[in-house]
Amino acid sequence: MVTKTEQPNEQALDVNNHSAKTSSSQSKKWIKQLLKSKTGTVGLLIVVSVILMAIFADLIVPHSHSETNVADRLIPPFWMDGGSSEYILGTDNLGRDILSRIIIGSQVSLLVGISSVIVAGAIGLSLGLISGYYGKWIDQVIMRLVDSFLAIPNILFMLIILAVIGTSLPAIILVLGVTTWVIYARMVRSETLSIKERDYVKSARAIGANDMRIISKYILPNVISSFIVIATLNVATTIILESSLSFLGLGIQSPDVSWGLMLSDGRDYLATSWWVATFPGLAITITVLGIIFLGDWLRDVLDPKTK
Amino acid sequence: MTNTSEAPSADVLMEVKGLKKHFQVKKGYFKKEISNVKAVDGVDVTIYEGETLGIVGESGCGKSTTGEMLLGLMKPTEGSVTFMGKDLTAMNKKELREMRKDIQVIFQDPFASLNPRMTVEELIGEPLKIHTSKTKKEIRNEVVELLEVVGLNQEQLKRYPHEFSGGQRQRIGIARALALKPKLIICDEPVSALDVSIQAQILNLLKKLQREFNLTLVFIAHGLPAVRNISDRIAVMYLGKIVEITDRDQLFAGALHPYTEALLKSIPVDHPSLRSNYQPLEGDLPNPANPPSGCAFHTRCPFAQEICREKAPSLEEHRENHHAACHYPLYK
Amino acid sequence: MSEPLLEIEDLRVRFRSDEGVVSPVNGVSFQVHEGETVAVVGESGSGKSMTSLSILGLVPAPGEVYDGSIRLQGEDLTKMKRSQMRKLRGNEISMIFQEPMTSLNPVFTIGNQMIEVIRLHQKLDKTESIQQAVTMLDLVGIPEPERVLKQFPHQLSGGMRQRVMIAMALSCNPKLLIADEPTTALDVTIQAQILNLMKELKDELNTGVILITHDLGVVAEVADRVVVMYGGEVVEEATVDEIFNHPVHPYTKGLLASVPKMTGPVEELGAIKGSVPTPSEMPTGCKFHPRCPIATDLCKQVHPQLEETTPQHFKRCFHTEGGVKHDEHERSTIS
Repeated sequence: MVTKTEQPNEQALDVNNHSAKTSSSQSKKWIKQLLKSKTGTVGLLIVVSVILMAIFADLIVPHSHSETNVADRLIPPFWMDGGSSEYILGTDNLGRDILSRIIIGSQVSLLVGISSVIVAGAIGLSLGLISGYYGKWIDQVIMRLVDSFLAIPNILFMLIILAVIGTSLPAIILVLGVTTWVIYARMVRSETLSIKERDYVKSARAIGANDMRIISKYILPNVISSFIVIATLNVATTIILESSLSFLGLGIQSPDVSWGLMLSDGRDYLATSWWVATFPGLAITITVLGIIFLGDWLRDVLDPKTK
Repeated sequence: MTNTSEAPSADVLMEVKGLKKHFQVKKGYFKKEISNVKAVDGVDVTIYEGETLGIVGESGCGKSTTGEMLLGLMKPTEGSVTFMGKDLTAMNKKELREMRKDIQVIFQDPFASLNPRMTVEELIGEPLKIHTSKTKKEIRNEVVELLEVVGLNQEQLKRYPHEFSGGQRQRIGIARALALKPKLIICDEPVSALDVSIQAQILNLLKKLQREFNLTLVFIAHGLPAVRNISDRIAVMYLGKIVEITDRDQLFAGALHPYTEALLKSIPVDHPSLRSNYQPLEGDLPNPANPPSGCAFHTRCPFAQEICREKAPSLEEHRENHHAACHYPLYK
Repeated sequence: MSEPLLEIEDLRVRFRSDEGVVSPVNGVSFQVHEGETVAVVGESGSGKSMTSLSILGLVPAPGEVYDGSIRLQGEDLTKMKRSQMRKLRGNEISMIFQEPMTSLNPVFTIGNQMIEVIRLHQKLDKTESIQQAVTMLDLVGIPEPERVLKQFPHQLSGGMRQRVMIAMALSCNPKLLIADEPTTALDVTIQAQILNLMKELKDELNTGVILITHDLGVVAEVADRVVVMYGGEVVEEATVDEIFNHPVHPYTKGLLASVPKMTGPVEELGAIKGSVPTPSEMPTGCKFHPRCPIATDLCKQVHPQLEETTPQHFKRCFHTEGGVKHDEHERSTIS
């Protein structure tokens, strides 16, 4: 049960040497732990391959993702009757190769999914910390803001903003971020409220730590693990939210492509040509699972108790 | 360690006057009904340099709230806490932070009072990082020294709190409190969460450190035996007030307040041969939100008279250095 | 002496996990007679609470009683079916816990909970069981029992809740009552009330009581016999007077010396060095040897047996009066 993490004695007083050694032993420990956790390893493999796929998308696509070819429309995947080895995962209603579109679509989907979670997380985390820690009127203001965001339907809100500022990739990321920060703010606030009352925060005040220090060294490290869990789960939600924007014509526009857009394109053909929507859907599922696995592992790594 | 104990032991270190803390509790959906919980209701006490003042009382007597106000962690509703000539209650945030160098605290639950995400080195070095401009290396050397003082060793620098037992964690908490060489340490139930054999270690350690560093201790606890072991003077609290305060031996030789008497007799005996047929106090502790009129103890007091229901007795010196708040103190 | 009410013999509990096997209880034996209060004393990790859970058949998974026997009036509880054990619990054996708030269900009234227990085990109709509940609450000194029956747990003070717990535990006239730190969460003056109540009830009902505690004061106050546990085994057992007057085992001695006293001169406390080892890092040989002031090489290697020094006084130590004994079986199971 008790893992020994002893440092040799002579090291303890040698500052530079020591910190260098611990940082390398730290990363070694992380990797060791990652390999120990099977799901963590799987998650890392998935996430790394999706990222590589996005980076080298242009080099590996077998076909153009945007060129339409009406003659080859709705070809099923290669293993089915009428399938062709040219289009491994089949084609969509305009004759575009689904595999190529998934590869190119990963760029936008990953970017949108991860960046808007970062935007939302950053806003939610800071407002939640401030709200929970300071309380009083700041808390009131922030929480009323949260309430009003919850009261307005997400889609309506996004439509209005996008109609005003126009749709572009950064605009979509911003809008998705701004509409989903509430989840983090509420979670972080309630965690902060309970941690604030713990003795170790009192003890930080008793030694004269200022608010900044208490928030960053005593509260943040203790809310971060639940935050990571929620954030990784939300990458999925955001990717799907982006698809509904696309569906409404305010998301990614053709000829650009995202998994969400493909998903909504394929909706009309679900009954006759299931592959059009299924493969982008699978891509989302696998990626999200990878991110969740990785997030779980990250949470464990950040918790000193599991070391 | 520089031991600048120029003052004789009878010098006043802290003077507490008329200290009160009332919490307003809002009830009901529309938050109309407000009840006033008088957690601390007029505490006067003087703390002398180098002494250990024990504060005992049962839950809800306000001993921990008093402790937090002495630390400056909580603003009193009324009253003053004068520490080395300056009033804590009138200080702003910055002055208070500065003052923290001199007043430190040891908490009850060593499992809750250490940040689980910090190593021992960070935990104990933290006060030094905040209040001094020492280098990382200097801080580490001091931390190592402090670890030895409290009976731990430097191999444990890089470990996290969860790798330690309760007693060891309490030692880490003590080292953290000692780091800035404070004058006064408030110990809020420092041993009640620990195993019996560990309690003794910590009590002995606190006594040793007090001698070594000329510390003044305020030892807040509900366990009278531990308070007796460590304190020079003892204050007994009941429902937000000090009902009796005197030297330790005086208190155990002849308590003046019926509550103190009952408290002393309620403690389980040291030895089976001392078993008695003592009939314990009846009834429960009254709710601090709705304390009895007059003397707060009259509802449970075997000697209560008419005047006890009407008029609250003040803390008076009935014998030399022996104060009690009772209309009919127990002279024997 | 009469037949014992409860006879525990060589009880062993183990927990298996990926990290290996841990045994919090390692060959515990003692007896409880009718009307007798036996205090089981130990610090955290001594196995005292696990022992009491074994008696009730409530060892939490993945733990299991894998050896030894627990006989209640001759019947071995470890061999009983779950359904039989359920019938026994609350009826023949009852338990009161440390924290009365968490052991009462907050969404039901006291009456609801008491009547459920009574009707579960006794063939009484509703009015009879209400009558029984009132009688029990009255017995434990609760004023206005009819009113309390209609109240919810949060409406009662800590002391009152503990009285209710005791009333519930006693409502089916159990032969054996297990009290696990029954006063630890209470205030001093309330603790005195509850201890007083326990003394009175013992005389009145002739129930056998196992009192699990770490507080030697409570032991001195109410126990008849004392079983001192350390590292999952009994290290000393004797009458309460014997334990306080002539403790033999260094752990018992250390424990007694480390308690601050209410009488006599104030002295430096005789602390035991080190801390209680966790079950996974239990040392070989005598489990107390790393903390023992008189340990020798023998103690590091060989596991001492529990033996009788004077009549009815048992100890597990080589170096106090008495011979040196050990057996090979013990040595092999430890390593």
